[in-house]
Amino acid sequence: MILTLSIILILLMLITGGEHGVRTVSSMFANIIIFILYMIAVARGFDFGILTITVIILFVFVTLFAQDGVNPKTVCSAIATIILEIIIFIPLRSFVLESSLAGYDEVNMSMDISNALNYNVNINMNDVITAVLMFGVLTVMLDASVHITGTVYELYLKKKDELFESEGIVEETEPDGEVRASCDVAEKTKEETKPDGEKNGFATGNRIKQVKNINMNQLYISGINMGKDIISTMANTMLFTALAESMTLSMYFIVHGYSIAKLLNSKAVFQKFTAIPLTVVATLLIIPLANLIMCMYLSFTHGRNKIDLKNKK
Amino acid sequence: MNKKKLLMIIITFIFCVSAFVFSLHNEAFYKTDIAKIISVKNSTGEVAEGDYGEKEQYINQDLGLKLMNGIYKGRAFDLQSIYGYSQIKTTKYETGDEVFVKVYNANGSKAISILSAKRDYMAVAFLGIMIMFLVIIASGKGLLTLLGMIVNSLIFIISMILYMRGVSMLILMLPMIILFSLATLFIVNGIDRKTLTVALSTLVTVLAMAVIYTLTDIFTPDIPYYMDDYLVCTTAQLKMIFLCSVLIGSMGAIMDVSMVVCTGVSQIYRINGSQKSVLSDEVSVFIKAVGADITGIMQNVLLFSYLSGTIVIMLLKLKTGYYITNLLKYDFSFEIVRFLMGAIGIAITVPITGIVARKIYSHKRREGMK
Repeated sequence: MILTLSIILILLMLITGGEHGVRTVSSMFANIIIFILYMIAVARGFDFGILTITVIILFVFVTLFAQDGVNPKTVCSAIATIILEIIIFIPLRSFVLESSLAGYDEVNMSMDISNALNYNVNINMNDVITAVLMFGVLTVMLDASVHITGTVYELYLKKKDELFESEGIVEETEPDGEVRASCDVAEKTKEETKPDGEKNGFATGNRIKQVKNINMNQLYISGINMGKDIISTMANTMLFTALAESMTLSMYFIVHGYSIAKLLNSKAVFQKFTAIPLTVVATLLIIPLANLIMCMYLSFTHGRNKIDLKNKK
Repeated sequence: MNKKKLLMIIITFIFCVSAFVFSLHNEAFYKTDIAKIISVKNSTGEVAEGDYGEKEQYINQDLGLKLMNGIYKGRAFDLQSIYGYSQIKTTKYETGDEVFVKVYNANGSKAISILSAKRDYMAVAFLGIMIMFLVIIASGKGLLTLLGMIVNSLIFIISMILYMRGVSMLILMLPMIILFSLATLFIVNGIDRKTLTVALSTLVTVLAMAVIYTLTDIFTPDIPYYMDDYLVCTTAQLKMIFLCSVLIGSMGAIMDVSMVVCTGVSQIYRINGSQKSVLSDEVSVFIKAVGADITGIMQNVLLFSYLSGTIVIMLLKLKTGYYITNLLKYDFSFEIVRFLMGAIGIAITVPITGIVARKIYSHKRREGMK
């Protein structure tokens, strides 16, 4: 059955996706192979922490660069994803420790499997559960960040000409206007409450900077708006996978008469459903972060491009 | 930030904090006895050896516990506990932890044993953080998302209870799938032509998936249903449950992909008006581009969410000497089939939504011209 379904999948991807479909399928199989090698290496006794970090970075590279190639979009979203993985590590680990999620849940404990398996493995299960959660949330971050950087980048490409044009006019009237790459534009725009659309018409001393500010600001805001749509779809995707996986588990709960209080304290429920709130929080955090990094990158390269143009003149 | 949003944030914050404080001091509401660990004394225990010569250090813990509720409230107990470095079957306790306990008679005096850890306050804290984030960053839409998730969970729970009462899964499946898609789409996005199109394409896709799955199931040998973790029903029932879980598991991703395709198609129709030849070309080009873009990403999301769920058991089984090929063939066949079916579902969603959207939007245009 597995073989047949794999063949159907590959054929479908070839028909609907063409060349890109091939790349997608191969990156997925590469991910699966990395995962299996990772499991075998851990079982052979290699250090769990170091391996996990390596594998997370590998997953990011394979998923993003093999599918979409190396370009500003993918580089920025890779940076954002890795930064956020580092940020969430400590809170996540303390959550796992505090709610003692390590090891078998209460349902597994009551079954034969818990006695049949070797449990003197010398791998800390708190580390493993933390890794499980970080893997689970990894692609969600990748997905959301690629969405954001992709939209912002395309918007930028469309509006680039406007940017150059308006700045060109200003340069003629004010030759001493300072032209510099404002790397901090994106950060500034974040602090500014609203883009000053009306002020645009006045010829003030630092007009160049203002034009740039407004455009980057618009970029940032449209990125954020776009991001709001992703949250609900991501949350629902994770909810449905978790519900599907826990169908027989929930029947077990009903058979054994679990109350709500018991569910809220159950390790099994925690292990299955922690990924959902985590997904929501991670998506909400990656949207501004990926957006910020993309805007910073754009304002940086934009400044450089402009200097090049000036030299040509 | 306007006043309304600020008010909403403050109300949510007060609600979350009070729920958290309550969950820290709610022992009186539990029927099971709860004890707080007030002292811990650790001493190094034996070193056990695993199947492949792994050295696992065990630590002995002398715990002092104080009961927090029930008829023995305030009484102190001593307990010896042990935990290993891996903590697979054992748990490490720390001062201040609260645990569910059972008090029983042993040789005329009372003794105590630990049942499980009290985790409700962590659940409340984590959910509270999620709700706060949703309200602050996504405000109105965030709350609707939350509402949609609650409604979906309720639909799920009710269907499971109905199933355990004897309603057949085959009868439950269709209403479940329809309700899931309607609840998810209409609560967050409202009822309009676009969400209706998405709902319709989702249903068509799920139906197509069911057909693909059933055909494959007929012509190929069964996956080992007896490997299911929880063994609450017979193999025949499990087969049906598994089909249902395969379909439901990929619904979220399917709706997402379908939404993206539908948004794009509707925009093309809005911009291009009535040039029919341009339209069909542009729609198919667009569908191909989007198909390439979004399917890969969503398939990877599904892949990782299923893969990460297998890590713990896979590690333990590898450590016990199982072969990786057998693990993939038997133990994790459920996850693999779920992923494959989900990926197939996503791949066929793009053309199906394209066709459905084109039908619905071109129909609308013709009506408009009349």
